[in-house]
Amino acid sequence: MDLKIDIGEKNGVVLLKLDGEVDVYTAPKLKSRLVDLVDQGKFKIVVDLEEVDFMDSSGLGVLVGGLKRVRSHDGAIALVCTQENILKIFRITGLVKVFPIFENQDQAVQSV
Amino acid sequence: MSHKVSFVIPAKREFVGLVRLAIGGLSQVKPFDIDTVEDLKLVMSEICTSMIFKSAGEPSDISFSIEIDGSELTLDIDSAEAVNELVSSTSSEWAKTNQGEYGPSIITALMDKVELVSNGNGHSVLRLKKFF
Repeated sequence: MDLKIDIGEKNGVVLLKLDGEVDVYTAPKLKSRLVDLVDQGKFKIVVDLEEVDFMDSSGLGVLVGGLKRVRSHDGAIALVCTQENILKIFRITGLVKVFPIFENQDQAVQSV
Repeated sequence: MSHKVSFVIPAKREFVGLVRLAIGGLSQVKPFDIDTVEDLKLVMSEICTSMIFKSAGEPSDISFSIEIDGSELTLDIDSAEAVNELVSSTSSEWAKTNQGEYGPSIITALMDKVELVSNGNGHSVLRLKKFF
């Protein structure tokens, strides 16, 4: 059980590509990356969840925390996700209305 | 025919993946569809997360009992007082853990029944049911 986080950039937008599982054990790693990015002045972020095998509310909490941080600097976070098992928890919790969710990175980068 | 499996984990973050693995193995006992197995993994992960936050700093265990009987799956989870916090939406402890605030809605959305039942020894266990 691990979470790999690749960080890239496209058109001034930070791309966070997650690979693995996001739960109470690995979520602090994601939180740390998001906090570091905001501290570095990066306020436009796309989080790609396409390679995420599992995510629970620990991951949701970190993403919401990240969104609050970037919004305080007029920034934004968009998500890339087409996996039904991941989209389901965004629907159950109503977070589909909070996060813009796209089918690919290009659409997400354009949105922020 | 009824099957019952029980196990105990330390209430620590690094053991939550082990619980999901155990749940994944249930599909060998009963041919659940993949969505059901994924839902059960998510529910168990949420429960573990809540109890780990509740027991932060205190050494404790989480006990699981899983029973499959015909078209009914019953999960009993016990971690002393942590179960009371889990089902109390007004709990200040629960509200403080921002990672946990979505947990109850996920658990109740994915399970057919969520209740506290007495274990006969003076405290309650959390019982979740799924009907097929």
